[in-house]
Amino acid sequence: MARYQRGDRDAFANLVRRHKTKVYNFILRHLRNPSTSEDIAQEVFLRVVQKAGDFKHEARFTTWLYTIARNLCIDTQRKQSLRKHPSLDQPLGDDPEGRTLGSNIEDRHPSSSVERSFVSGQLAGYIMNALDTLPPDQREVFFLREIANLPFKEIAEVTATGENTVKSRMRYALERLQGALSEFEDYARELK
Amino acid sequence: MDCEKFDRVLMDLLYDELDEVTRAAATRHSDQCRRCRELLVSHRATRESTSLPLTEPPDGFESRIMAAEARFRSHLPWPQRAARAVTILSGYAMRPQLAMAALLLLTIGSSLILLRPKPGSHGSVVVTESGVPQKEDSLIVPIEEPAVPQAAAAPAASEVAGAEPHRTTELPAPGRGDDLEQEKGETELDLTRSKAEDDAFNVAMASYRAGQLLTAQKQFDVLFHAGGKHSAQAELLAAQATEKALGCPEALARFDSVAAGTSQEYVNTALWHSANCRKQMGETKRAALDFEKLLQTPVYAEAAKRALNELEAVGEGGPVLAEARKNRAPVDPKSGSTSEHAGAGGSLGGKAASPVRPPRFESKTAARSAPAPSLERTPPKKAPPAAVKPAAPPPKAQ
Repeated sequence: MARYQRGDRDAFANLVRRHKTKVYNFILRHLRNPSTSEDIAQEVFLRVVQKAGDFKHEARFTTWLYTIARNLCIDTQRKQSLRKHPSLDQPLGDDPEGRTLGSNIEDRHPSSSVERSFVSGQLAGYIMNALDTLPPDQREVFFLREIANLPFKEIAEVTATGENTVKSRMRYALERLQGALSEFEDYARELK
Repeated sequence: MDCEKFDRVLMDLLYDELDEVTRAAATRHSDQCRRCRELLVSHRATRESTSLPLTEPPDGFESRIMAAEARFRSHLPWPQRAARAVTILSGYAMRPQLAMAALLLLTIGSSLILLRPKPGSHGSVVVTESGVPQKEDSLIVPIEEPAVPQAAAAPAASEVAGAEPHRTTELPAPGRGDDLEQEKGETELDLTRSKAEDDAFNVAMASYRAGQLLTAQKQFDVLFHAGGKHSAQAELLAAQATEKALGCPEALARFDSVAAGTSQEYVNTALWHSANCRKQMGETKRAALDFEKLLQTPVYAEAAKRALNELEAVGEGGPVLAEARKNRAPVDPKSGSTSEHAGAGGSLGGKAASPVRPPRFESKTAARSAPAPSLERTPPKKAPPAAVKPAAPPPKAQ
């Protein structure tokens, strides 16, 4: 970021290349809409360009980057507050038989086993449903931890809460997901 | 570590954010505690199971961002562009190399400014002055002469050539109040006053010699009234200047005043002039008496004798001369001098009445410009001329 502040555009390209996937996925998990998520992700990096002069290196770049992404997600969700959240089974396009969000976020590298692929797809659906049931603050912490791979201290700065609060939210989120996994294990066992 | 503490560090242990010591302690506790071990294993399994696959952004995502960045830079308003340039420059300025270079330049610059050339190592210095100098009125005050009346002292001082209206001296610095300093100050004051008197006397003498008799008369009067060391001499010279400028009637009272004084040095001279004036004015009786008095003085005896002879030759004098003749010493018929004072001059009953030459006196200061001139009397060597003439250059009446 310091190089880009001195006018090095290649440094900015490296930043985009390094963080685009995680930022895009973080926004996608929040908004569940790939098109909107792409626009918001581009807006995040454009904000970085616009506010590059204001960045004082007092915090890590990732903290600043995900703070921008989180705020934009909150603003977008607020605008979409009256809308119904899209279902994982909802078609992404106009084609009612087209790809769904659940299929879009499933494992891109499934095993050759049809059964295993089926189970993995079912597991992803279970996990996403379980995440949908999480409270927003727990879900947010979970995404920042698991997708952005931010340490708890940075998550606390991004969410403007205490570090222990972040850890508690993460623990509750894991325990809820653990319950969902137990249900899935029972379901998979029944399938066998 | 106990279970409660293990619960607190469980998330850190799960995501590997513990330091080595705490992690070892937590691991030891989990090895020994079944509950905590099962807790750690279950959470770890959940985490591994719920690791979400990442979706790649659409194709062209990065290029669109870079294009947006380029558009933003091209459409940046000039204030923001300037601010951005400042930001870029400040980013360079924050580099340690630049900071060290700036510090070095600052040190060299300040050294060049603060270091001065050593004395004598530089060339000649030309100092020019412009403007009108001002008097330091706050440091210099005029000193009033206590013995001189202000009305008389003021014109005298102003007429002294080149003299300042008020003599001045420096004020003593604050704190110099001891006796030694006071005596020193008084001595300096006396010297200054004496010098001023000498200067004023020289100026008056210069006026006298230049024929500016009335000016000289006033200047001598001032000196006389000032009562300094030249007071008596100034009174006589004032009378002489009056005689030459205005004539005997005006000067007679002045000569009489000097003749009534106590300074014998000037009394005889004044008496001589007084007698001559009376002679001219026809007061022969009083003139004869004055000449008679002068017969007792070695300097004026010969001249007085000739004056008496002249009075007798013209038939004036009367009983006074007769009385005086009785008391007069016999005169050498050849030399015309008395037996007491052989020298120039005719006999009392001489052939022709030669003009009486007055005793000549001259200030020594005129010749050597000494600060304190004194009268120099020159007795008559030959028969004086008929008319009374001053030894000095003939003054012109103003």
